[in-house]
Amino acid sequence: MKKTIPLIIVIAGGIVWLLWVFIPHRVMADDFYYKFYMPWARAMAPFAIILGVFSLSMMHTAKIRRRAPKWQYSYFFFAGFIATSLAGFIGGTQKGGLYMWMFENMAMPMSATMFSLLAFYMASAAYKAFRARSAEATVLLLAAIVVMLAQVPIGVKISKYLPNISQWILDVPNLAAKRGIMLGVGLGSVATTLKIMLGIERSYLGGD
Amino acid sequence: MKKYSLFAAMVLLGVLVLFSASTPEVAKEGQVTGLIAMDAPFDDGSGVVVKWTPLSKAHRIIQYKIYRGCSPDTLFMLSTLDVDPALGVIGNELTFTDSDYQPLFEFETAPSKLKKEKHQPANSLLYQAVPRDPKVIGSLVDRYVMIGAINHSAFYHKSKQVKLDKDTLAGYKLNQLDLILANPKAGNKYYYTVLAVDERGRHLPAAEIVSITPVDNRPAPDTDVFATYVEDTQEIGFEWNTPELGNDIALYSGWLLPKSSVPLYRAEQELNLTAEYEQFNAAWQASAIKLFDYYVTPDDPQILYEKVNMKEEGISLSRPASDYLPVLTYMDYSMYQNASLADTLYIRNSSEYPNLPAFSVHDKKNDKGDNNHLSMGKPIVYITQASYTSAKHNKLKFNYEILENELYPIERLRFTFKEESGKEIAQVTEYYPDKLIYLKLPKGFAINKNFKVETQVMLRKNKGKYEEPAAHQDIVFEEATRRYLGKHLSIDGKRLDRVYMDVFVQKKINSYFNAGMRSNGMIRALDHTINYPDVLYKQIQRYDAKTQRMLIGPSVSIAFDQDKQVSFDANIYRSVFEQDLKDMKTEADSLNKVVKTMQAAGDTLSEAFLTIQSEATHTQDTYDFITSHPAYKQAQKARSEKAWRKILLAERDRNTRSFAYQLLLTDGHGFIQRTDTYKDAKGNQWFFPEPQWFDTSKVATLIGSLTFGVMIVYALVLARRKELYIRPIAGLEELDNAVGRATEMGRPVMFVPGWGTLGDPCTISALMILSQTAKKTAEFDVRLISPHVDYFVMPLAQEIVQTAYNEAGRPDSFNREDIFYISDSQFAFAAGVNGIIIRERAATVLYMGFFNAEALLMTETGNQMGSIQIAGTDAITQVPFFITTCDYTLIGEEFYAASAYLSRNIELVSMLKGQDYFKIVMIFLIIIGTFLSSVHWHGLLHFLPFE
Repeated sequence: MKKTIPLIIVIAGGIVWLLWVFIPHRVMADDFYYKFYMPWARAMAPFAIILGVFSLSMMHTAKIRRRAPKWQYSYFFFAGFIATSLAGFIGGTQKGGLYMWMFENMAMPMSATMFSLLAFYMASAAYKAFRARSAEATVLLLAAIVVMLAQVPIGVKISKYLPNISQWILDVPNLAAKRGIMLGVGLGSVATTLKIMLGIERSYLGGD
Repeated sequence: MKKYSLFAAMVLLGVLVLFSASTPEVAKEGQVTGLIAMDAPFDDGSGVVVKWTPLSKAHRIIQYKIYRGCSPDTLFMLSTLDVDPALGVIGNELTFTDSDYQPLFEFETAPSKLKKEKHQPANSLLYQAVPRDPKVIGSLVDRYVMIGAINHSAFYHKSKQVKLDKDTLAGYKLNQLDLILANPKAGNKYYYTVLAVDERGRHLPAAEIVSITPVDNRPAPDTDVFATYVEDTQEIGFEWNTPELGNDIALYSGWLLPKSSVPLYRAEQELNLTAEYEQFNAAWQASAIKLFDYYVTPDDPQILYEKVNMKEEGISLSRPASDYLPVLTYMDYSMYQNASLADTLYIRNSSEYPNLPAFSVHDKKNDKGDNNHLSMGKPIVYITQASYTSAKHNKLKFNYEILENELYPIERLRFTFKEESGKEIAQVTEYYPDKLIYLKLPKGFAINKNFKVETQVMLRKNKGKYEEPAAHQDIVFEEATRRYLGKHLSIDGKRLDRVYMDVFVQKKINSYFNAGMRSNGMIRALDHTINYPDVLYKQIQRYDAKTQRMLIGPSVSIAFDQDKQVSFDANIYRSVFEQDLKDMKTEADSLNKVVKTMQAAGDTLSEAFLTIQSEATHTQDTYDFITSHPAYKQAQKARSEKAWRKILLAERDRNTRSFAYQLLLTDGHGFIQRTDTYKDAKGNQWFFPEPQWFDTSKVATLIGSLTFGVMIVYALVLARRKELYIRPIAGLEELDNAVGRATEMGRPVMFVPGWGTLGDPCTISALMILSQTAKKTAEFDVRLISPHVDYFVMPLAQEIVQTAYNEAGRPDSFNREDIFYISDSQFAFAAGVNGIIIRERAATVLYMGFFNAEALLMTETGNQMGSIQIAGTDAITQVPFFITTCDYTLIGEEFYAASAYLSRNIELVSMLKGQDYFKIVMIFLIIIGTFLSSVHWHGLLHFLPFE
């Protein structure tokens, strides 16, 4: 029973969504989606976020209790969580308040810092990828050189054919491979959906 | 001494008092200055303009808040004006116009009680918002024109009948109204102030309160008026813009003014600028010819049209048409008038009229029943630009656009290029319209010289024949950009790029047509969106203090008799409706009796008789129309009031959503042609958008889905008979080794699900892999850590892992705290994962799911830590990064196959095989499609859905 009822809900929900794709009628487009589904989704979100916050707090509490490696950092989580929550609940989340100040002057720069690291990691990854260790890697290296050169003015100076070759690489072999993957992904997602709707796959209900 | 000291103190005090009295009042720090409130000009008295001097940049202001009140002791926040604190305000003043129904009250955001504005002194008169207190709003009902937004179902079915004096009104609680909008009322006094909010959120002192009493004004003096006189047919067309703030105009009149009277007109208009509103100096009308009166209807748009056949109206010109100028006069509901003079009277001939396209109306296919499709003829193709493909100038690349019409699907296109002399240069046939064609130029083609093109379409309905007439264009070389541009689009010698179309629509419940769907004259189709009633905007007429309800008029229109011009209006309360009907019958009988009496007395020509007769006829017709209406008869059979109301509302819904259409073509200067009301082959002129139960454009998708299902069933049957082969997937083969390595090293395994939510198949697939991974870690008794980005996914993952540990017989090894939520912020999540990889020195890291830019940040960290990394994703953009930094990568479908591969469950494996079989079908279709398209047969392509 613990799994049957959720399974029935999932299967019924899946069928409704499947019908939603093929039926443009108002009953599906407005009554089901906007008046039934969306309010449910909105109503669930606050409860789920409580679960998330609770989980994170438990994890850090356990770390502090166990004196796990670098357990001191867990205090930063609590400090940040409490400070941000208080700033938001007391001062409001509008521009000009402490909450927004913390977001703009702490969270945003830290995010930007992480993002900026991506450039260095990309260089490192490119170095690894472009090492001509095999025939396939050599093809990759050559394709990358052509495409990269075609993006900069000097590429045209080197050869007027370079932009066309680059475009051909992007439009033909690259696009063909991408579409091949997309095809597989599309079928895979449809198959996963079918597995769930037919009740074949039940691991998402807590394993089977 | 004491006496002198006392005297000195008195003198000092006096000086201080004098000094303080003589000191001019200085604005407090941060207080807004220069605040003025003015009556908005030209309007109906519902607008107020508020102006103030913005504070300097140094104050770092982020917002100005405007407060309004109808008494000086209570002002509520009305609106805000955001400004950039760094740039400040460019200019010396800021303006806010209080008109067009600003929100007075929003139920969701309104405070429950009166709440003073922040950081203001204790005696402040400013309040944050109108509270959710019916008494407060009730006290304002008489001071504003209030419109309440109410859900249509609540309006019809959840009201309380309230009788006030002789009126029966529908009462609604405040919580039934989502929103109340309010406009100032002419003749009432309103109070305004403004305060600034700085970057730190401090509300600075408010400006001195100012007051204003808005009044109804004379309409604006000048508006855009165009008129064209068609000489041979003696028709005159007017086209004009509604004057500025002229939403209270009731009547427009068109005139022709002899040029000799223009000085008089101008002089009188000059006088009108300063005259009393009741006085309108227009002696020029004595010499002018009146052409028409146009009565404004409720839904009239900004641009209006009127056409008069002067011959039919018996209007003649005493001098040449070129001696006249068009004038438009207009009068508002208070009888205040003004006029506008056009610069020119355009004179044309009827042969110059643009061709009216074949106009038809259809129910739009595959929609939810909220669109009518308006067709304006067959598709047209036109060139937008062209450029040489190389310096050799031997080939031109053309971009073209198609003006499509879904009723006429296109088979192919033909472009015929011609020299200016008419000699053909070349012809290009476009079999698949990708909006790009190439033209190989013949030898001797004059470079950079203009040429022409003829474009034709072949319709799928009419294969083998190109549609006539062709569209023509000039291809003009533009020296500045060194490109060719397609110009002067015409059909049959009539330019399409110089005309406008407007569609007139009439609701079945109205007696009039309204324009308002104006577009350029080239379009071939338009969708008229007819929304389902959801939120109704109704005027709040009164407030009932006893029931604390807002009172709204309960009458609604159900139907309209277009022949007799009478309306079937019904009260939403059955008893009131029936009483009204009885009263109507009594009144009709009484009037008929009077008419008969007067007729018997021989009084059949007096004005009184005609008025009473007209009134009697109208009342009798209305009564007859209502009582003979099928909806009324059906409703009478209803047992409950709700059922009665539902029958009438269904009829109302059908009538308010049924429309008749006319098409208008204009050159923008009054040279207008208007079609008759469109009727279909059955003679029906009312079009109601029907909701569809099946989207026919998805037939191929449905067939594909069913085929896929059949293949899965086939694979399932096959899998039960024999073992099916699955090709080895290196990443999954290595999973055992990776977990084993972690066991040997005594370090944890990390499972990072992606960015997806529970609604994404990739997340479900990732959870399936987590389940299999958890079984292995439980088996090897290795710690499994799984940080999450989505708080919906996390509890599910905890359950999955716990079940896996239970199944492996190691429930004690499961630690719920190892499956946790980090953050839904992309880089915060990446930072958290990186930190855990480094601190916990994870031996194996699995990345399964959908990833964005954070993928490389995490995998590169794992790589540097020497972890074995296996990734699986359907995010194509991240695949290269995973391949570069991870040991094994499951690409696309491999990722979805993982759970079947790992579990070897017969049903899951058969799914996988079903996918493969379907892939064979797709490859077959691709090959066939490529071949068919190569021989220009596009039937298969048209059948398949297009994204």
